[in-house]
Amino acid sequence: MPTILIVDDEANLRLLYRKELEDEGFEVIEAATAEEGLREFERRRPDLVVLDIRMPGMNGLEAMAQVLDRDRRVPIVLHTAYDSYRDDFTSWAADAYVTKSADTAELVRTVRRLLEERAHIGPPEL
Amino acid sequence: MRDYTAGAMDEPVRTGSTELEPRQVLGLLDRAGVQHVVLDRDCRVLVASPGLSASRGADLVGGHCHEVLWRRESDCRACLIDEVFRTGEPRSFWVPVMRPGALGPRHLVHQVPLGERVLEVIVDTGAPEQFFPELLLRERILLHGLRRVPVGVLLVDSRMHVVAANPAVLAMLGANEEEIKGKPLDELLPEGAFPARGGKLAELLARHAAIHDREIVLEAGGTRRVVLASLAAVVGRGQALNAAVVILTDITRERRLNEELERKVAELTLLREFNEVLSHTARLEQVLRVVLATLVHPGGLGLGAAAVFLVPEGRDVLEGWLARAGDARAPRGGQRRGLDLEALAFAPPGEADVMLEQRVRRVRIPLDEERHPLVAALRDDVPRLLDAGGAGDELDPPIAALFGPGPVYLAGLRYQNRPLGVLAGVARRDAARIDPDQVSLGGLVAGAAAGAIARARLHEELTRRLEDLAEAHGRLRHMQGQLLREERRSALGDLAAEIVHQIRNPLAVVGGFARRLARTIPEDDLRATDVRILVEETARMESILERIRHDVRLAQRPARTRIDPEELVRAAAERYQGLAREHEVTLRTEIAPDLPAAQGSREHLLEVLDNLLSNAFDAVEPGGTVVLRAQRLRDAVHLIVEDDGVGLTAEELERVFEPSYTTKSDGTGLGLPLARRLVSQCGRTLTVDSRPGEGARFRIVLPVWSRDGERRTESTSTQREG
Repeated sequence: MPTILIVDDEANLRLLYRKELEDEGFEVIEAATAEEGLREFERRRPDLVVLDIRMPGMNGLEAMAQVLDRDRRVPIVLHTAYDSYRDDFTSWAADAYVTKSADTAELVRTVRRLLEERAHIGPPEL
Repeated sequence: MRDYTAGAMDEPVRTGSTELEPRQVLGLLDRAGVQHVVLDRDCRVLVASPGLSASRGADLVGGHCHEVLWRRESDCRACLIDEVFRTGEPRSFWVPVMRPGALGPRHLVHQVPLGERVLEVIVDTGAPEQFFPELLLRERILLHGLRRVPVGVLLVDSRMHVVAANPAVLAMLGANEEEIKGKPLDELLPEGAFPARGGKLAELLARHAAIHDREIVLEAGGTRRVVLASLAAVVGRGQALNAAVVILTDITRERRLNEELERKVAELTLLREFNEVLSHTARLEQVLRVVLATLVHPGGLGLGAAAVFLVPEGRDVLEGWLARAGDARAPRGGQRRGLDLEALAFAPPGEADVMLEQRVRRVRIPLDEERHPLVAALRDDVPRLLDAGGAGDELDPPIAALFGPGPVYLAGLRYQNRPLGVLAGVARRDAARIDPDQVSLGGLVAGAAAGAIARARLHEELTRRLEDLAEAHGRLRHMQGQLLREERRSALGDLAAEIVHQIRNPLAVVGGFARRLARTIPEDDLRATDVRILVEETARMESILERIRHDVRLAQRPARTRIDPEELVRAAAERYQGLAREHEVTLRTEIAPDLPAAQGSREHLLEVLDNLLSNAFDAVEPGGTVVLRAQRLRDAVHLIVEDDGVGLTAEELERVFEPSYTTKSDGTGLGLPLARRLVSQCGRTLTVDSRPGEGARFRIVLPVWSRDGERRTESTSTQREG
């Protein structure tokens, strides 16, 4: 069962995504800050990371860079209410960019697609 | 008749070869109305003319000289009568009158020694300025003409035949005494010298005693003399005319000097007026017109025509600039005083002016053509005269082509050693040459003109820079305003984006859980409808937020680029073809041929057209028509979206562009206000025209594209066309 790390500072949003992804059969780990997310990433080595960008403390783009330092192959989904970050070239390193919405279908679709693509490539580098 | 022979007045007065009796001289003076006295060595009055006694109210004879003119006794000594006796030379002096009297305020007294007596002639000069030239000349002739050489004296008998002549007369007439003796006077003097001739003249003289100062011209031995001729009768006892004296005074030199003086005064007056006009003339064309008027006007230099050629700044070419033809009918040297140069300079040109100016304006000579007379004149220090008066003279073909054959005068216009141009003057058709005074005056005019031209150019340069500066300032202000507006817009945009973001997160939570609920509740559950409403409304809120975010982003983009209206219209229509088929609406595009490029933002305008088309489709019934039209009207491109739908009420029409006003249930109210703002960012307007039931016509007006859209049309670079 693939594990997904959700890093978002809004507890209710985390809860919504957890429930939606768990309904889809994924295991979900939550983190409320980027720092906590990095610790969880080290500890649990999830198969995919969903990162909010705007958070107190370290933001999602910096967190992405650090995650990629540890594992260059883990798929990362930037998940934000701001589509303006699409224009920030740092965000281009992400595998997907999904705008937050009440309709979680796009997020779920994206997660599923990235995990399938990764399955063809092989296990993560350690 | 008084006996003028009283006292010892016996010595004859010699004039040339003729002697006059003293009493004859006094009679002559009496006749001529000249006041006089005869004094002895003690200043005692021996003889006094009747007029003098009458004015004094007493017989002066036997009195002292100071009584004659109310002279003081000290003045009498000042008259130095001894000096006259000692030297035997005549002398003259002024006598100021201490008391105003019948003799007037000032008198010139001439003393002439006559043996043991002194003849004192008193001339009432009135005011000093009346003194010249008539009075002095006349009295001088009478007095000194008797003995002095330059004055000719002729003695004629009662039949007006010459009896004697002095050497001066012989020189004037170019004859010796033998040749003229016995000849009638009117054969020697030009016709009309004296009004009556022969015996009649004698009668006239008998009545009037003297005829003064006839101006005559004598030509002898190649010399032309202007001579003043006076004639006085010598009356013997019993009033019978027994002789007459003709006195001829050569005034040629004085006349010439006088004319010269007058001309100089006129020239100076002209130059002063010319300079005065130039000093308050700043525009180049005005300066040139004043210069040309001065050259051609009969009251100025009186040339036949004049033209000015200039070297434009920073270019190596001499160009014809302006020209003016003179008035060939007006006599030269007319009224100079009060010459209104400004009025003359701007008098409407005549046909001759226009034709000459057309020829002159075609002149373009590169400065390296140094042999061209105009270019050569540019470098000359002294004016150059091209005289093609005679048949053998060769006139430069280009000059002859411009001005026709005849003498031409070229003066370089230089200022601080910089060649500015050339002034050309052409002799009048009725003049064989250009006079030396025209050349010298022309040189002065050219000098003053060069200074004025340099000044006018400086002035124009300053004006141009000032205009540039003002324009730059205007543009700067415009840009500042635009920047300020854009900054404000940008700040508002940022705020709106932030609000969108902040609302979006909780909305996603609410909507997300609502969807989860909806999925879990069975369809027959009564709460299913409630939850569906939750889902729908949050979805609507999200789409509103998305719309606002989109609009804000769009409004922050630059809006003035080059766009192709035809392509824009086709692209907008393309997007609605599917919808048109679906709604059974006819969507037609009408694009005028040869549309120019317009100024705007393709992205914005697509958005606006999208909005307008969407509204139009909402308004029309199936079977209706929507027309998208592009056309050019004057300097603008019009994009028109027209429908034959329900139209707008008066109230709707008034409020349709207000933010938050909408007639649609799902409208945000941002559509048309945003559309209008987007169009205004493109530079022009969005307007609507509609009536209920008659459809609506929305019109976008865009500026035609120009590379330099902000600038006005280029200003003319010189004043030449002005």
